[in-house]
Formats: sequence, C-alpha cells, structure tokens
Amino acid sequence: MISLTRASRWYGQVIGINDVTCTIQAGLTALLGPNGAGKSTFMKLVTGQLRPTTGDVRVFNQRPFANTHVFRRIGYCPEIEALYDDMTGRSFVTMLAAMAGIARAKRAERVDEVLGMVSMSHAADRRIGGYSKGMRQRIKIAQALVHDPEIIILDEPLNGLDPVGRKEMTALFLRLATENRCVLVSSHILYEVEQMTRQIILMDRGRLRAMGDVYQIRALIDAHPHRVSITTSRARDLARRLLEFPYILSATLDSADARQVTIETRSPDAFYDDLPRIVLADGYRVEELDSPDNNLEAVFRYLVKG
Amino acid sequence: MVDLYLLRNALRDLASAKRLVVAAILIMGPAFIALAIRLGMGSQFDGVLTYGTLAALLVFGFVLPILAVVFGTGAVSQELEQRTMVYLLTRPVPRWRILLAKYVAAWIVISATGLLAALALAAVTYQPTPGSGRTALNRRSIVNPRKFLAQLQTPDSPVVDYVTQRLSAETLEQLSRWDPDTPAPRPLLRMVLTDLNKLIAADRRLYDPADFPEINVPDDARQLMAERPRGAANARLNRWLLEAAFPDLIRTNRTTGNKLYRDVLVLPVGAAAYGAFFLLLATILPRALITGLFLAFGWESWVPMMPGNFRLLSVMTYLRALAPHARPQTASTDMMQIFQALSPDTVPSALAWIVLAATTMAALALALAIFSYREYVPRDDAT
Repeated sequence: MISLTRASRWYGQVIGINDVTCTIQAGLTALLGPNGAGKSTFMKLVTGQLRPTTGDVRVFNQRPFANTHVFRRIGYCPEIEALYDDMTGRSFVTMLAAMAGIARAKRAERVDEVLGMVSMSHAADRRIGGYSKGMRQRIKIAQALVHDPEIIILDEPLNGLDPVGRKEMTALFLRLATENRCVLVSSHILYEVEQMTRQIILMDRGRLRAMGDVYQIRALIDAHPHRVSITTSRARDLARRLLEFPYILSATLDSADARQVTIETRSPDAFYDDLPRIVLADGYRVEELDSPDNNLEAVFRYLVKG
Repeated sequence: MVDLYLLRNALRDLASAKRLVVAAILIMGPAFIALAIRLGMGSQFDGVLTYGTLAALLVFGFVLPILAVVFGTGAVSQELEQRTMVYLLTRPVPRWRILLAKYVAAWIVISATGLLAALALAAVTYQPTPGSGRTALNRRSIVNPRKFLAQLQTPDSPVVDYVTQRLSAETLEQLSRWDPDTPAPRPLLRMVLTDLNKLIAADRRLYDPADFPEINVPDDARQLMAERPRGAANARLNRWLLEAAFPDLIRTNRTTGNKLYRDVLVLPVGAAAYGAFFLLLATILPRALITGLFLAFGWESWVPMMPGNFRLLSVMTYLRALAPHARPQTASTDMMQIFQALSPDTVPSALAWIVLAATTMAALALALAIFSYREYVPRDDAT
C-alpha cells in the first residue's frame, strides 16, 4: 500500500529522512523513533504534504503529493494541536467529511458513527476550544477516520490521552487494522507501541534502522545476543544444564537473586523450543520467565546505539 | 457543495473577533472624521467635497488597501501559521479550489467592509445640494452674485478673463454699466448665466486647463477630460471647468449620490485586484502581512503620484481613474499637488478596466498555481 524507494528529504542542510526504502502493507505498523528521528517527515511524505528531495514515495502506486485520488483513500491525524477552536467537534468532522466527498444523505450518520468510535458523541456539540487535550486528540482521530480510509496515518495519536483513552484508542486501531486496513502509528514512547503491535519501523536521525517484527529484528542483531532470565529455585542446576546446548553462549547467576539465571543465545527460537522440554524432563519449577530483549526498549537501544 | 463548506470555513476563519474590530473601526473611521468636520464647519460644510476628499484619501487610499492586506493575506496566513491548513490540504479537494474559496471569502469581506465604510461616509456627509446633478447654472448655483459679477467685470485671473471674453456683446455691455458697489441686478445675472449655460452646453471644451496652469482641476474633471467626452458628458466637464475657474463662487453640481454610485461599483473591483495581489503575496512569503502593509502604504501611496509611466505600476492609479473624486482646492501647494502637476495625465477608464481585470486574473492564477505546487509545512514541524 505504501512504498518508499531510497527516499530522502532535506530541509536545506537539515535531514528529514535519509535514503529510506520500505514497504508497508495492511495491518498495524508502528513508526518508532526518538524526537527528530524523521517520523513526521516520513508521514508528511506519505500523506502528500511534502515531496521527497530524492527517491520515490508511492501510495497505492501513485505519487501522493497533492494527489486527490490518494487523499480519498487515506486518513491522516496530524501531531499538531491546532484545531478550529470556534467550531464544534461535530461541525469540524462534518466539514472534513464533506470535503472528503461523503454524500450529504449519509454524512450526518457517518459523522455520528465515527464520533461514537472515538467516544466523543457526548461532547460533539461543544466548541473545540473548550475541549481537553484528550478530547482534541479524539476529534482529530475522528476526522481521520470519517471517510472510511484504507490507509490511516496517525502521528503520535495517543499524546494527551489518559490511560483509559489510550487503551480505548489502541483497541480501536487494532480493530481497524484487522479490517484489512493499513494503520501506521508513530510514537516515541516504546511501551505504547508494545501494547499495539510487534510490526515496527525504527527510525533514528532520518535513517530507517530496522523494520519488521520486533522479535525478528532482535534476532538479526548478532552483535547483541538475546537474553532470557529464568527464576527457579534450582537456578545453578538449570544454568549448568543449559550450557550443554551449543547455542547458549553464557549463563549468569544473578548476584542479588540467587534464584535467577540469565542466559545469552544467538538462537532464541531453538532455545524457546528446547526450554519446555528441559523444564518438564528435569522437573524445574519456573517461577518467572522474562526476556528483557523482547522489550522494545532493548531493541531500540541496541539498534540506535549499536 | 464542498465549495460552499470551504467558503463558509474561510469566512468563519476571517471573521475572528480581532479582525471584526479592525473592520468596525475601518467602517466607522471615515464617517467619524466627516462628522467632526461637519460639526466643526457648521453652515460652511460642503458635503460633496468632504465625501470626495474622504472617499479618495480614506476609503480608497486607506480602508481598501488595509482591508485587502489584512483579509487578503489573512485568508491563507492564519491557517498556515496555526497549521490548521493541514486538515484541508490532505482532503481530496484540489488545492486551487481551497484557495479560490478563500479568495472569494476575502473578496466578500473586503468589499462589504469597504462598501459599508463608503455608505457610512455618504450618510454622514449627505446634504440636499442645490441644483443637484444638473449641468446648467441657475441663480442658486452662484454663492455670491455680486462678487461673481464683479470678477467678470474686472477679471483677476487669466482664466476669468478668457471666460469673460466669450460672453455675448450685449451681456458685456450690461456688465460694464453695472456699479459693483450696488447689489447684483437679477436681469444682468440672468443674462450672464444664460451665456455661460450656452458655453457649457456647446459641444466643445470651455477652455484647455493646460493654458491656465494656475487652475486646480479636480481629479474627476481631469479624468473626464481624458475620456474625450461628447454631448452631456462634455457639458458636465465644462460645468466642472467653470467651477474650477471660479473657486468658492460657483457651487458644485456634484452630488454625494452619483459619486457614491460610482464608488459602490469600483470598490469591489479594487477589492478583487488588491485581494488577489495580497493573496499571491501570502502564498509566497511567510510573513506576508508586513510586506503587504509596506506595499499598501508605501508603494500604493506614492507610486500613483510619480511622474511619467512609473505610476502605471500601481493598482491605485487605475482605481482613481475609475472612481475619480473632487478634492477641495487649497491656496497652498502641498506635495500632492506638486506631484499631480508633474503627472497631469490620467489613465483612460477603458484601459483602467482592462488593466485591473488582467491584474486580478494574473495574480489569482499565479496564486492558485503556486498554492497547488508549493509545500506548506513549517520546518520545525517537519521532523
């Protein structure tokens, strides 16, 4: 649905994105990176607000810049907080629904429906100027969805939402992604992304650092073996047992907690296949199994700093 | 339908409280000044001249350009600065239609505000004018008959001498017999007026102002002269030339009504031209308001007064040609009169219409093309 081929975007001497090549298909993909990584430039290129300086950006196999055919099928929730403060939420969404080409007869019904999806029906007739930050975020999401787009681009959509709101919106994005839509969500907050998807595009300083499933990405990083911590009463015994396997690089007992052993492996798949068998055969009682490297933070740290 | 939404959105965007206050001040400003003049001058107040002066200097010279700068640039700048433009630019509506709706909204606001300013000014300066609109002179057209006849008897300027020589022999005979220390005899005045009315109605120009450099010919007469008038229009010109030859002695036949009628026609044309120009500026420059103000009150104020063809580079030159106003004739020479003396020619109104239409269309087309092509993403928002 979306493809970038060696796309770069410069603002004079400042890099927006640099030599990015990727394709994004249906499903929920997170665009991850610290502030200034080029996430917004990426999204502005895809939503046809910017042209690449070099390379090519295609959406539905068309160049998106000012392309009304693309805009008909794409929904965009910008990061900016600015809204038309003297409009009501309903009139704002209705105006953009009209501009998106939704027929008058169906418009009111569709606006009601989408306001319901973002839980804003109760406040739809109030002025946007009086909205809380979370409500503004919800109304911005509503306008991105009102024309039922196939691609939904959401720039930091969870900013300003309370935990309940985050959960609701995350569930909404996941639901939209299961309807064979392409949902691209940017974020610089890792735990947010972890709740949503394992499919990530990792960016830093304008470059695409990694793309794909968090787990697969992690597995590719040979320089940083995968670590797994196991808590069991027979930690020393388990460590010895595991070191018999050739793919286990090391097994370290935790100095603070003698019941915890942390192994390093370059073949996590093989390890996860073998571990249940070992545990059952030797009767280990595993209290906790944790893989700090499956945590996005770790992937992010390795890739960006590695 | 979409265009209606766009227009409504653009109008709503322009009608911010701050801008409405500016508009209200601009509407009432010239009228308040006129009211002050009216109260100050009492019976000496000349409504037509006051309207003409304030319409030329304030409505066309100040209100229209400032409205065009504020609303013309504001049509785009506000949404770009507040970054709400992104919602419009990522919709399946061609960018030129978005900008065109904003232009139409700006034009409506500029025209309506300008027209209200002209109407308020006309209302405050309104007074029933003797012989309103008629080209022929009658007794009430003469402010001071004794002084008027005395001037004809002993002309104190070349132009009065010239006019006097063209009176009939019989009138001149009667005039020479009259003792200027006695009141003006009605029959003599009637004879003089009959002769002057014949000169006015004749299908030739009463005199050529170029021969009488001391004469201060008002803008509207100058403009009419450039049109090479015939028939009734020539009679109107002759009447105005006669009024210019006898300042303060012949009442003007101009009425606020017919000046207002012309202004009502021309203000929206000015709004269209200026609006398109400042909209173009806003599509190119990040801080178009400042540049716009400089152009409106620098370029547009001074260039129309420049000698030679340089003044043809100003929109105001053409607006003045379409809506000329008579301003009071003062004894002292100010800078404007010096400049006017340097460039006495006016632009024919046909040319003015063509240039204004072409300027409007060219500026608008360029603005639409640039807006369709350019990226409108602030750099600090981009990474």
